[in-house]
Amino acid sequence: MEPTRIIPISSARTASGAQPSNIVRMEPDPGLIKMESAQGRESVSGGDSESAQRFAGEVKYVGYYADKLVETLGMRRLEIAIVEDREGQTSISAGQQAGNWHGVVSSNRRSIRQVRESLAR
Amino acid sequence: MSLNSAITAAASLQRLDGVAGVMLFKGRHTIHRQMPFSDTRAEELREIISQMLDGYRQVRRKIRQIYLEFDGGVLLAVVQDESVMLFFLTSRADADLAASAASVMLNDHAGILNTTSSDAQPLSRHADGIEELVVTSPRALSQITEKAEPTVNQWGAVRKCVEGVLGKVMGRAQASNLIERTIEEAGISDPYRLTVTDVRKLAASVIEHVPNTSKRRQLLVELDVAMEHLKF
Repeated sequence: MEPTRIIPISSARTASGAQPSNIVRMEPDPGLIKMESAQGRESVSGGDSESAQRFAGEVKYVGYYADKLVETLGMRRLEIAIVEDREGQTSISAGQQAGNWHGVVSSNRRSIRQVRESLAR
Repeated sequence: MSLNSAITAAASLQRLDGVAGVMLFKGRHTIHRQMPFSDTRAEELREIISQMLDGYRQVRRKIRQIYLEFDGGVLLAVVQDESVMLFFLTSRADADLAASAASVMLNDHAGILNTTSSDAQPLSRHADGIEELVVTSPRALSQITEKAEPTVNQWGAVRKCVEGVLGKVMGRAQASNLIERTIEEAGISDPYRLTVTDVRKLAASVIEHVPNTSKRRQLLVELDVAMEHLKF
């Protein structure tokens, strides 16, 4: 059986219009923020401006310390980070390419399991 | 007062499924350390986490928890004031349960941990170099985990309702400060861990600070209406 894949509702359909049963189309998460870097330039998209700014700052701050921890622990890379404070929760997930991240800045707190599930979508 | 009870409780968290290592520290003071690598490496780890938390403190962010999932394991830091319970977890671990149990442990020992120095101290070791063995029983862990709830309440949404209602009589920053002050006055370390009844009480107690009686009554009614849609 094919693994279930969740794709944006706006994704192009096949010519026949048929859709495999393992594909689920969903509305994109409006709070999802993406940070991408290409040729030394960084771009942030999604979320409101305050959240996007906070997300970018968090990615850099956590990334800086994660690099140190990776060296100390003898690991390769950070995959997921969840930072919780009194104001809420920032979740960060590494993209396929180095320097690409996506995640959410939320004023609510969810369990680690819930956050991991939502980031995996 | 002795740190022995806090050390025993911290050590018992190592018995949780999937926990590869634990470390309890306050600033440069390592209170308990049981990590699956050398002491030098464990101290480097403590130093990096301490620096990271110091940076957050400098910008007045009160961090409660940091979860860092690497390709080969997870670091989970549960923070209360200056005290940090750090876990090194494998993929088998239930990180939510570990976080909740650590939160309960830090709360239970907050008194002694608050009075403990954050300066570097030698770990309790015998002069002959033989490390002291901290013996814990499954019961010690079950006492902590019985109190630990892996889920959190709706405080984030409730706080939004309170801010919305208070926004009618004061500015956003003032409302936010009032909420923080009320939490501190009530001695609540983590509003997300309160019961449903206590969350409602906390929300109402914030509104109780509004001095004008008629406005206060009106705001309390509005708060009830605003919170009606929340699923507790």
